[in-house]
Amino acid sequence: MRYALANTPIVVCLLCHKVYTVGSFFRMFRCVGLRCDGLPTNRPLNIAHRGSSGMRPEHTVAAYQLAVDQGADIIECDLAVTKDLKFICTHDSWLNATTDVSSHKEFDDRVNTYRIDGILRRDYFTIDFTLEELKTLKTIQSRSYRDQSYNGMYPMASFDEYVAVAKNATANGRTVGIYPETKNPPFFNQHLLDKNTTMEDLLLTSLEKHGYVTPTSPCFIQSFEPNSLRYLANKTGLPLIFLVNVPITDAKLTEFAQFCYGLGPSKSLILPTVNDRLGQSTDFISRAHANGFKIHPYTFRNEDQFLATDYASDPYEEYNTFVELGVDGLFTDFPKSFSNFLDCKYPVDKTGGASTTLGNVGLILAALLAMILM
Amino acid sequence: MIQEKSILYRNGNRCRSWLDLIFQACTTISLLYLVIKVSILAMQANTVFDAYNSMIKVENSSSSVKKTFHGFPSNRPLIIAHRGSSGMRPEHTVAAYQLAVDQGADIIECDLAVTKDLKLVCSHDAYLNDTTDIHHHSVFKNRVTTYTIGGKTITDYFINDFTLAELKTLKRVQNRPYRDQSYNGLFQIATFDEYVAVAKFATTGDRVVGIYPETKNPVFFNQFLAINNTTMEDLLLASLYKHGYTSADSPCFVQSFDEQSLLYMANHTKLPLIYLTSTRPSSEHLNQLSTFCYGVGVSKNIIVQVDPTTNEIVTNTNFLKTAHAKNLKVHAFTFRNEHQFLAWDYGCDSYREYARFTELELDGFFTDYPWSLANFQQGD
Repeated sequence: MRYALANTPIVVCLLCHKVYTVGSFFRMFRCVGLRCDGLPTNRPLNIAHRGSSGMRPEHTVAAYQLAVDQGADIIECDLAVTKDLKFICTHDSWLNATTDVSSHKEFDDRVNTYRIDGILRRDYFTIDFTLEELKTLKTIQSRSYRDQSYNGMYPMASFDEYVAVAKNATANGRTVGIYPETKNPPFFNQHLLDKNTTMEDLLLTSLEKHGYVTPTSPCFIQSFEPNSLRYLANKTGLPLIFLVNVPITDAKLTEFAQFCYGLGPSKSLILPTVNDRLGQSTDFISRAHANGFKIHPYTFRNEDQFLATDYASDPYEEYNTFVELGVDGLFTDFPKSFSNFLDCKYPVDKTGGASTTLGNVGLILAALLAMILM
Repeated sequence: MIQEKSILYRNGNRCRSWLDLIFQACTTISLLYLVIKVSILAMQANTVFDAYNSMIKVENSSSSVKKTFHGFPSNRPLIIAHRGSSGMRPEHTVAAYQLAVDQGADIIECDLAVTKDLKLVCSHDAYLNDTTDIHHHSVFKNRVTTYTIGGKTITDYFINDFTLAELKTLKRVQNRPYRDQSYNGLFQIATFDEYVAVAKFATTGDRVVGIYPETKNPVFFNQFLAINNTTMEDLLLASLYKHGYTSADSPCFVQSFDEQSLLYMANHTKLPLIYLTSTRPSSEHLNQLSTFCYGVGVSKNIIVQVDPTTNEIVTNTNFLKTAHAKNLKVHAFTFRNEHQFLAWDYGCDSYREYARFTELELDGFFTDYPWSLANFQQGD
């Protein structure tokens, strides 16, 4: 009913070939360009990669909250499964690099060896710990060139806590989306076989519990694993993002366009570098857009070693380059910088806002008058 | 008149006819409004309109902006390109100076050294091995010497042991390994005259590009110049005079860490002087400086204190307020994009550092990356 009312045309402007509906007039009065999920459509999305991971240990509530405070549209999280079938946010299924687990003597016997992505690894793995046990660990900054002063302060974040950060921001009148990734699903699913479930099913159950159920929920599900996405596509209408780090064929593009909302490519697929200098931009974005995909490339970092020489150690130059190439959002470890960039590139015209509204009022009145009187 | 009246009364109902007229007028106005509004919207997509718009912007930004009496914009801190655009090109080359100008610098900065034949060249150090390819020039092998400069004993090739012609056979290299090495061996050492020429060539119409020469290690060079009955300061002032930089409102700041050097020049020129220091001057000292200096150039740590062990900001100091109260301008050094030069609080983002100092009302930034500072200022 509401849909019908919102889309009733009230005036057809022949000169500009636009049909003004009740809904569009309504949106004109509020923030122009809001999609139904509440995320902006007039500019690329600011996706905080593992939270504000440039400034806090990744995948902690602190990192997620800071990202929200710094203006991120979406906070991103990688999922791992625990022994008691809960979700913990962590990039890797192993723990030594990002936590103080090795200093916990009580877990000495939990060291294990698994093969993940073909590589044999000996470490502590989330699948061998309950959520409660993982909560006794403290996170550390795994990158030596980043701020070490928050080491040992924050526990790992559960998926529920991560979602709570996003929802809490939304409660204050601003939409912050979530972007969970099914990471290493074959690895986790082999451990879930005897529990008669899958990582994907656990995720969907959790998302449903939190209310992310429609295509316009502010929630994107991402994966490198095509089968994971195919499985999810059959069970949910939530937008799916296919992560790619190798060139993608036209055939694959066509196939995935049937069930994926977007692609998450490595930056170099869009703009390769040779000897740390920028090469020619590829046709990746045009091909992807032609198939109806949104594009969210990864990962944008401020530190000079991640910036091509052409950018002169200036991350804003990189942001500008990719935004001009037409990306629809990007994953960044430094959402504050990208937020500052977006504020400049897409200024909210403070004076124009009022006059635009007034102008639109005039337009509507004129249109109504014209309709009534003719 | 009568004809009009008959129209009004045609329907026999005067009020309704008036109403009719009003309604018809409203309809016409509404339609006109629609048409105009839509045309404007359509035009907004037109690039001609955009060009017009940006024309207005440029006009507004340059001609109507208040200027300092030197000709620099006074509505924002100055972009002082430290050794030219030295983040992107070998420092103190014409290429670095020119790039800085092209990237929007207000001022290009240069450190001076004196050659054997009393010419001024631009170089941060009096020695050459770090920043040139001199060790490839076997003809100069025997010129290696040992001197004491600023209390340090250094063995190297020294500028004061070479004529300008000899120095011109060398090529500059990027001495910081984390910066672009692809311009090594391309550019010569710049003379002071060539440096000035870059600034003057860019100073046209509405834009002033200033110069900012430093008497570097004057005590060291003056010991060799005594025999020629001159000083580094005299050579500089003579050159500045030749180039037309003579008065208090010339776009030329003369800087030095050596207060005696400045005092000497204060007695011989009206050009604005800048006292450089890495430690905070006392209130008393600032009072003395304000009697002959236009401003001070300070280490950025004096303004925003950063703990060197934690790399975190401790506090904003009151230095800017104090200096401003004594009528001294403040320029801070040195602003660099590389994350090792940024306190953690800035999130590896030099623009956030620029924002903090701009808010504190710094008068000028010495930056290795004028491109970034100019972008930051335009974003505001």
